Amino acid sequence: MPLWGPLLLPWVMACVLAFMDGRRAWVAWLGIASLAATLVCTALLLPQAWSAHPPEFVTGDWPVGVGIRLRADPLSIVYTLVSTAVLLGTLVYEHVAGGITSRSFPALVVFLGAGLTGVFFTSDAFNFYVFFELAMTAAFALASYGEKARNLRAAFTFVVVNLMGSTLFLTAVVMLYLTTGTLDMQSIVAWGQAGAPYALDVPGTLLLCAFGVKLGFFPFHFWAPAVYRDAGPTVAALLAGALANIGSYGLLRFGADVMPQVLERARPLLEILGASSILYGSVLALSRRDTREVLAYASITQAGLIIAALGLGGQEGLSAAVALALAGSVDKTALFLAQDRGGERARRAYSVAAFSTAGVPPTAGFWSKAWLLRAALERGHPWLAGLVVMASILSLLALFRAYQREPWLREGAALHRGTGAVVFALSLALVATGLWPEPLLRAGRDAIAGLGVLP
Amino acid sequence: MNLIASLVVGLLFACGVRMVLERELVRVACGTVLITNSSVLLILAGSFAERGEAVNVPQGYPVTDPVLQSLALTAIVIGFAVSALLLTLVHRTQRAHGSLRTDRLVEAELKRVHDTEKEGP
Amino acid sequence: MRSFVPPLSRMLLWPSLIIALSFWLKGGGEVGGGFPAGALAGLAVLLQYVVTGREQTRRYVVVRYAAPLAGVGLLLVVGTAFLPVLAGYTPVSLFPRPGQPELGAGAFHLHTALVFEGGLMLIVFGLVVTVIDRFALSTANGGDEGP
Repeated sequence: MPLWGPLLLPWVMACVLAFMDGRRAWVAWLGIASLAATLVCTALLLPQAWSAHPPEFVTGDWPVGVGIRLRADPLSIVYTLVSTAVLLGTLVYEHVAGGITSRSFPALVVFLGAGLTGVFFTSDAFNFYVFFELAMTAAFALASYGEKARNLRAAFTFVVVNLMGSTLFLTAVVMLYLTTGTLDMQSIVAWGQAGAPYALDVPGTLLLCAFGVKLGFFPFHFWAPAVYRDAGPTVAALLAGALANIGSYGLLRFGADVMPQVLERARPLLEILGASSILYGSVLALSRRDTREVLAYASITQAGLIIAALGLGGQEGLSAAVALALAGSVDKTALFLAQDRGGERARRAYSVAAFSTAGVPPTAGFWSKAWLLRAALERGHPWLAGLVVMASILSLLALFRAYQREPWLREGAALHRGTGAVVFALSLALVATGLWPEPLLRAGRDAIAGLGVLP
Repeated sequence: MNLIASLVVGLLFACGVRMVLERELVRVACGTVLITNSSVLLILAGSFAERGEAVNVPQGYPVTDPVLQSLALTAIVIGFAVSALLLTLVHRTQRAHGSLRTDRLVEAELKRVHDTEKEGP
Repeated sequence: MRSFVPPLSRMLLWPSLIIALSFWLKGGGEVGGGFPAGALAGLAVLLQYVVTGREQTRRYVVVRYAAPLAGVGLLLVVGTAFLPVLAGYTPVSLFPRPGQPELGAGAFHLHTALVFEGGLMLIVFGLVVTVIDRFALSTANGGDEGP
């Protein structure tokens, strides 16, 4: 499978879907089919990405610097796979849960998929911005899905805050270009190895803020609870499960790959931000009554874990960050979808996802947290390890308090087969990964091995 | 030239932030538009210095960096799309709430939270 | 006394569209391109909306079908970007290839970048006009915005 396959497919399908009425069942199934096909195309790229020369091309066969380079290394592939799977699950859920109520919903989800695939595959800083904005614009339009007053309020907050983040990101990209004279990521890496050591600190800081807003860790978290609470459950699952991946991917790509020297200097800062975010998220999750707010604060804790893992640095820390981001993405989607409607399967799925978020053994979350603990202990940060264990216990408490409080979740008010099947499949994936963690661990390890990490 | 440009960028950004902190949603939307445009001006200011090369231009002819110009153009178009979306949202919020002041919206919000807490155990 | 603005703005419509087209056609080697062309055409339509109102402006076919036009533009862009891969070239390849003889005369050359730029022009134009139309239509039932 050539590299342009998964790039082209969602683009064309989204354009075609935009012409159709998304409320019809067959249009929704067409959207689902196109996301599934994208997933298959990306999966077919796996063997090539793991070979010595990952697939890449430069647009129009121009020299690098004139044309845009697109590249699929293991990090891009695993992120694309997980994000597309999350989008697919959410679209299926929204369709079987009672029908799509907006004309453009399937097209927007597929556009979001196109934007995410582009973000993960591109190897050019400005092209990253363009795809990022495409994904963001689709997400902005999706955020108001539902048409209720609270949905609109959530969308407004989301758009204003994330527009600021996008502006910061654009400024950072332009500064990178003005400093290094190139937009190609690999040329920036080469410049950074030869150039002045402190020259990239300002763009690096701006990038940290920009991706911090997307990922929602401690000082940049303020929008997350309001948006996740007031947006529809499907939209919250899309934002928390798929879109937040841009934040962690961007930090890994720009931090560990493009500017490792800046990441190296930022490590103490990242550790402090991560630790405060873990503490803040897990304590506030306990104090909230609304289930969605509890989930929002749990996702702030999750973001804090990723940042702390990045701050630990080294192969172990960064691999743990990848594993945490991937497992967390599926966790959050399952949680947001399972708390929407009752039913036997939804209840089981909620419990499994809650166990995974807290890091209880036979789940994917356990392995990613265990990896983080090992990295923390190896790097000589026992306090961070203690904090992670405490956060796990607190989030387990918070999530099950929410479970007890929701009567329909406890009693299983409305049994719905289709929706139950989707969340059940997500939770099965979590348990299966927990029982056979080799793919997750290998994804984390190999994704990092391809980057230009400093020792 | 760079001094003027940076002053204007700073001024635009400051006005934008000031307006985002306002209570009226329309002003918040205008503030984000100002911030977007300040970053576009920043891009253009980067191309004021003589750098870069363009095709099809005689030697010694003053040129600006075409890459930055195209970045600015892309940013303008993306900014336009997003601000249009934002204004649509403002419009729909106006229709849904009958008000554009954030303090009124917060009141409605507090009322809702209060109601949920009363329903609780 | 009748204002001179409405007739003047009506007279300005076609010249602005023609200038927009010329921007598109000379975009390859000179000042111009798809983005400015689309924006200029959109501004010309905006002037019509402001001066003559929505009903009058929607008499033009282009204005009524602006949103599908943006979709067609997007398909054109994606098509020119990815059709070369069917012939074994990398995506976004330029035809005729650099060095091959070009068709055209003077400053005007035919190449696939022109189609790409035309697609961009349609996207920008369609987007601008759709957004203006949405705002002009203040009493509509809650629509959904385009991509």
